[in-house]
Amino acid sequence: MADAVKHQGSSEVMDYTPTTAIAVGEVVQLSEGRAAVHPVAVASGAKGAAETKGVFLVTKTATQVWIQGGPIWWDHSENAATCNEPIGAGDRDFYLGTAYDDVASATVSAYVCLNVEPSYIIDSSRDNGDHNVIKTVVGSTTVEVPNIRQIGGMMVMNFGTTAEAQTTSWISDRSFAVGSNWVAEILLEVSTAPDAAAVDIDVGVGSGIGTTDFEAVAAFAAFHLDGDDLVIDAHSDDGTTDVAPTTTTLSWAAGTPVRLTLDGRDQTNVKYYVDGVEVNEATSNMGKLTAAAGPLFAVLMAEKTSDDSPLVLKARIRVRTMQEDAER
Amino acid sequence: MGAHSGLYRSDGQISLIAAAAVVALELRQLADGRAGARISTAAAAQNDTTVWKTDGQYTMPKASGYELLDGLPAYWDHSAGVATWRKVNDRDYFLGTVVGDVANATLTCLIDLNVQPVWEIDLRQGLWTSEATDGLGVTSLFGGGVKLAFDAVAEVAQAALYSERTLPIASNPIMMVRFAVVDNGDNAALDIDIGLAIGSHATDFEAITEFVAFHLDGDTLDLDAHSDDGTTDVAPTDTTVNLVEGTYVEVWIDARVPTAIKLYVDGVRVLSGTTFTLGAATGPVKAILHMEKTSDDTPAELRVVELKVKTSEQ
Repeated sequence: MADAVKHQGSSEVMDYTPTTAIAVGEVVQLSEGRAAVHPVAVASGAKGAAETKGVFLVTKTATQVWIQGGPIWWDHSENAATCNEPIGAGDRDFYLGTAYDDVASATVSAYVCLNVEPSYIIDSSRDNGDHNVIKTVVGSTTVEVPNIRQIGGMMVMNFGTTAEAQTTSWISDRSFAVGSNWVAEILLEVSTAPDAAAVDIDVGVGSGIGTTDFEAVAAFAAFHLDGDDLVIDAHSDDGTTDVAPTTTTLSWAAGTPVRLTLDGRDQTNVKYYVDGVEVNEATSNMGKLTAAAGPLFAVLMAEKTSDDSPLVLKARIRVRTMQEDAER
Repeated sequence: MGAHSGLYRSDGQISLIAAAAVVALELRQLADGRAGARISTAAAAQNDTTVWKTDGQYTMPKASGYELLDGLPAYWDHSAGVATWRKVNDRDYFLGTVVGDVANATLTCLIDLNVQPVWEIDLRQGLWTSEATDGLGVTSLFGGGVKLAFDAVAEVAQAALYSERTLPIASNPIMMVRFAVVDNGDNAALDIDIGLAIGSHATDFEAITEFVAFHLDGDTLDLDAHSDDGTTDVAPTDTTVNLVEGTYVEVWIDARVPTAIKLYVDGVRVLSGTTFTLGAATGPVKAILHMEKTSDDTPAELRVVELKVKTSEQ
């Protein structure tokens, strides 16, 4: 036979014969995993047409702030779109598309570009970066050295449990201008928690990366975990205005991932989000990078002063930029 | 901002000056690597302008001897001129995704051109947890794969890697794994399992209460399969497929019908007469690679270069 005989001229509309009735506007996951929307009701067993491309108004999870262009998933059990990537959970959530606009927390419906994926300029699971591992005691009895590896697209950093100062860090090769309307999306899990205040973890963007002290970096906007304190902090520094680690009032737990976002589209006021909820909006000068010259890099650093604290953390950092931040 | 771009042609089709004669309804790989389908029913001569579609659904030839599953990726076998489940080291290329299940003997299939599957679990993405008791543990392979290995030390050992993302039994999962047993050891103390399970276990995969998995039992290269849903325990059963050390195979676990899970090796269904079931399982399940040995000095090495799970509404 011929190599290919056309059945249907576009992949934007798919035949779909539901085993249970479909309502108007219902969102489903197709067999290849893409999202689809039914423009009309379809009876059980009848052939319908599911659309896989376009901008659709969908029910949105309240209490979440969506950032234009950010990835959005369909919460199958809640029948609502969410900006929180499904992790663990054991549910049927699936990828929906990207947020068409910025959407306020209280808004309960929003537009999504169906099946569109963000185009990241930096993705730690894909792109090159430079990592650094430091253990300090030469000739020590260290049997478990700190290390970094990558599994499943996540950077995995470990501390050895020898009582010594250690550092593991990663910085992206690619950098970006402070004014490039950047958004950094971070997935962070502390799998094995530190047991002492000697440990510091920082993840975000910075003008560089230090060897023993993240706060020595000239300019940064970052989330911060302070030792065995289970509170997520935030801090920033542009070389002129230094905002010390300040509680977001939200907590982390060992083995539970958190989704952290830095919205750097306004370099005078970088916004911080934890699981889609804005934090530290009232903290004076938090996220002020006005004086930062840049360029900025995606950065992740775990450090401890002399202590035998363990640590296992997993992280992924993605950064996207855009021409401008504008309502459409 | 100035005029940096002007529309030349909308997406979905590309025009090319034919470097050689082109037949009607031909399929070819375009310069960007995508598949292009020519929908003209007329032949074209060298230097003619030809139009190639890059989207849409097309009926294509398929060989017998393998099945294709709804939503899984399909490739164009360049030398055979058929759609197939796996590209090999010639001019084969990605074609799209399969629309509808296609039986072994069926000689045509429907392909959604250039559409990439969206995976809910992917070895190269997302959060994974590794476990290791002695042995050589879990290490990364350049390119995104993983290696589970034991050295020749007489000890009890375990190595496992599992996805932190879990899926309900009812989410219509299909799992595909490409792996090679590089070293199958020298003793019956060894067990290797690859599949979907409700959890992991420090010493004995079969102690997990709910799972469906491919299995290697000791130093035999017989590929087995087994399942347990807490009520019905199907013991390891020989698929009759024998692995070759260092040679990759691709297995699928089609759990869209939890009470009748279908297993495939290199596109061919195995153990169709055995009912593997998660019907009584509560789930959710995660993707898992698990290797264990009771006290023995047998070495072992498992390499996995692809592990993906997709789900669908129905």
